[in-house]
Amino acid sequence: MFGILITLGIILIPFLAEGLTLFKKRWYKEAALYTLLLSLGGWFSICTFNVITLPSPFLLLKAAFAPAIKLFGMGE
Amino acid sequence: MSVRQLKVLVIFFIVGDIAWFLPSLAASIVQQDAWIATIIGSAAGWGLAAFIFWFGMRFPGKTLVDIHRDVAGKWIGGLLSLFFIVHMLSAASAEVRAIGQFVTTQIMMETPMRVILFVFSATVVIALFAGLEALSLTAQVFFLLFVGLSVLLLALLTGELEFSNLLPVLNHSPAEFARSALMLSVFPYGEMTAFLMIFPAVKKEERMFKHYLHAVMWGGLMIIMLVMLSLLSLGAYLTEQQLYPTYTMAKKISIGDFLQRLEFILVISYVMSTFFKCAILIYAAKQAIIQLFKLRYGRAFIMPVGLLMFGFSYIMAPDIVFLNSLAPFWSLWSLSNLIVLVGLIYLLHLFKSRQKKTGAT
Amino acid sequence: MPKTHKPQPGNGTLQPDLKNNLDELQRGMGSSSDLIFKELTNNLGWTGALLFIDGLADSVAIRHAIQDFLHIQSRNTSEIHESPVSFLSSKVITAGNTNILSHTNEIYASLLSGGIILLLEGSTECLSIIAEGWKDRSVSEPTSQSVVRGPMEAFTENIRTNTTLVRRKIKDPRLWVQELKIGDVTQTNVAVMHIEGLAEQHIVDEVMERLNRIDIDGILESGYVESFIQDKIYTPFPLIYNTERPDTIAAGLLEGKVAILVDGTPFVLLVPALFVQFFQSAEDYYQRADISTLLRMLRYISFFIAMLAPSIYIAITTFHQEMLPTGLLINLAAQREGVPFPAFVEAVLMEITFEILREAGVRMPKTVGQAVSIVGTLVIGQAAVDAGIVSAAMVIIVSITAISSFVIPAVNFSITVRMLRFPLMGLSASFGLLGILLGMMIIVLHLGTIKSFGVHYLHTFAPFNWRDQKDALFRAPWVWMKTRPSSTGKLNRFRQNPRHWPTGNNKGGSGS
Repeated sequence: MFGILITLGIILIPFLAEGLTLFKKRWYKEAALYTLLLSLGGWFSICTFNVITLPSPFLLLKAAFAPAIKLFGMGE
Repeated sequence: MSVRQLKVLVIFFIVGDIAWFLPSLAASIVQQDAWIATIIGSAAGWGLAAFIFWFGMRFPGKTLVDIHRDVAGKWIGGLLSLFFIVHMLSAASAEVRAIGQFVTTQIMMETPMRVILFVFSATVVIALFAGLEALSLTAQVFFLLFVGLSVLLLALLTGELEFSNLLPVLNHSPAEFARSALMLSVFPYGEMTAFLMIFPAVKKEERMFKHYLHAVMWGGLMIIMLVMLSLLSLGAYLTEQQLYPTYTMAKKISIGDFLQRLEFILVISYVMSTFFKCAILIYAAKQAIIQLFKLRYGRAFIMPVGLLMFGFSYIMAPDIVFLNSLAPFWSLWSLSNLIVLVGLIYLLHLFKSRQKKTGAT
Repeated sequence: MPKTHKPQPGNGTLQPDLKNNLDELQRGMGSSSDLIFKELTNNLGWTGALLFIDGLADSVAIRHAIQDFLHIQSRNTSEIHESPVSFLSSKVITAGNTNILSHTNEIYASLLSGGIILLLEGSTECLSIIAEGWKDRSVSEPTSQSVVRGPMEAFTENIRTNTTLVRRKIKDPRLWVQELKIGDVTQTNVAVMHIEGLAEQHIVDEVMERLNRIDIDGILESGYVESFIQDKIYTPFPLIYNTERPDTIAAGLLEGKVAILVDGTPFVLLVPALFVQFFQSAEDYYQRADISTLLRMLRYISFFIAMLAPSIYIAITTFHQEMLPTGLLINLAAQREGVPFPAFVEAVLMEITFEILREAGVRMPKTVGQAVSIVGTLVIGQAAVDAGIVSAAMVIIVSITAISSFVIPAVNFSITVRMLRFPLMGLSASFGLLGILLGMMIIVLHLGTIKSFGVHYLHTFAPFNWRDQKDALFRAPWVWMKTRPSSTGKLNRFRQNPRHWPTGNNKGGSGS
């Protein structure tokens, strides 16, 4: 609960400070990207502060390079 | 930014976070021959770094994103730059995670890791707000401290060194050497593609390459020194098994039986180098995002990028076991990034310019 | 831009009627009792009036002016009729500094600066004689930056005395002075001095532009000017150097800096200011090089002690107890046994108490001040230890910190250090030595973004400049100080003949 509050605070403060000016200036591309990055970061931060463990995105990495690892015989 | 500042940044970048895991990684494959593997790996790494510099100089004034766009077109170039951004962001998060992991397991064991991650990320974000110029000035100021502490470490450990720890020499197969050398060259030098975003900001001077290579070699020497020291003072077994051999070997220092356990002081220099590596990587990521999407007000994006780095540093691995198991995958990923984003682009560039020549004539 | 303060009265010009003028001028000043006028008629039948402000104008000059006016030897009358006032100015009045004025606000400006106004019946002009005769503090020793060896002169509140003191040190026609008046109500004289050919033109222009941009009703001290003209960055660090000593100003001018003198205060500003400057003291250059080098290094060490000592104490006792030698650790633990507060609260309590004592000591009358400061530090500290509120080690740390902060030669810089101590203490209480490291990084990053009039604040430390180190970390002997600091002295690199070296007499025997 506390963690969600902190994260919301961390997201909202820069959003209110700088994000809104992007919207006001009608720079939609910037605003969209800003919101996207902020929400992604916010989602990650909520997980951090609430100690939610997600499956790591690096499992993708492992899956992608597994054949190469097998080939070079580097796994241990 | 002057060349001297670039040199300092390069040295900090190369030393980066290798102090935390590299000696144990090397020792886990080739045990007491880790120092030979490090020398081989460093030599290869110098080649990589030199290639990156040379690549950057072929396109004066252009950052990597510009080069991608010019050579490979808007869409493919954009995709490549996107991969670059992801690489930079995850590398930066890895740095933050390395510090967080180290501090929570060795120094402040009661502090939850997310707090350390947050504080470190906050400092890096402040560095981003300060700008590249201020960052390089700061690096210059702290460089003396860094060198001083490293020399101190070397000097204080001389009493604990045992050269017999290096025997038997060369009892591993070339394949094992190759594996370790690959990782030892890619980990410090593989992420130097970040500098391709910084080269345009450096003031042109003559013999820049010589200065740059100087810095790269000094960085490599520091890595070799660290691995050697940990092997010599701890021995191959401990180096392999300890979570943080550098920290362990600093623990062995005792001056006159009253100044003991000063390990954190000596380890400060590696916290600094990790910080600078992280700051450079995240700066490269931020610049790349701004240039790729042609954003008008870049300063606003520092906060989201910083938040992303912070969050990702926690999520990237549920525990240290997973983190350490990523090592070979990460090295291959960095290498492939290097090959594709830089090497292939260069070949494409050559191909295109040859076409232009034949087309013109 | 709407003015929130009313401009000075007096927009008109003089009328030919003397009575009118007198009434007008008096009314503008509300018939202030110190505005004195004396009507005169001289031997040629001219009617005039002498106007001055009692206390501002010099009485001897008044007498001379009256004497000169009352007895004019007959001259060529045609000259007289054209412009009687210029006739008076060039052929009659024996004062050195005179002006012919006709606008009322100019007349007021002159009156209020110690001028004597001579009005003539039938003339729309008047003669103003500058004759300052007020009481000034004489040139005495500097209060804040005294040295053991070196000149003991300090600036006073009179801007003319101050420019004179500087001119006495630099007798070069290339020392240029530009004056302007700032402050709508106070009309404070501000003078800008620089050495042409040494100071970079863009810095001088920048200074003049920023000064002209100041729009306020009153400038009482150079601190006002300082806050108006410094670079617009939020920083606790001082961006402009100030000093009471003419020799420091002269040295700065010789390095290519620009000096700003403000009437009414002995503190003169020096621009641009760099981080290293605040560690340099005038005495460094008068003593031998080796002593000065050691003292300078001591200052840097004191800077770090003053900023970091409480933080390091908190960090080590809270997080890194293993770093202390065992004996010390046991002693400290025993001391802290009865103390109910964590180290951080202890430290903040003691620091705040010390700051209170320090401020109180500044305002105490001199007789009581000495006793209170000694009483305060020793007795209160000891009593606090005995009462079990703080530990003895904390008192020691706080005292060392306070004393170290006095070592820094520039007072405005030590204020910065005192301020920075507290956030660092907070960081160290939360994150130990890691927190201190991160805090120092943030401070240096912040310093890296600061520029004072276009020059990087951290110049000579970063970008690292080997040649300038001779005056930064240590002080090289004068023979080696061949070049000016490159931050501002690029126009004229060499201070002395580059090949100068003291010639020794290697041969034995009698002198050369």
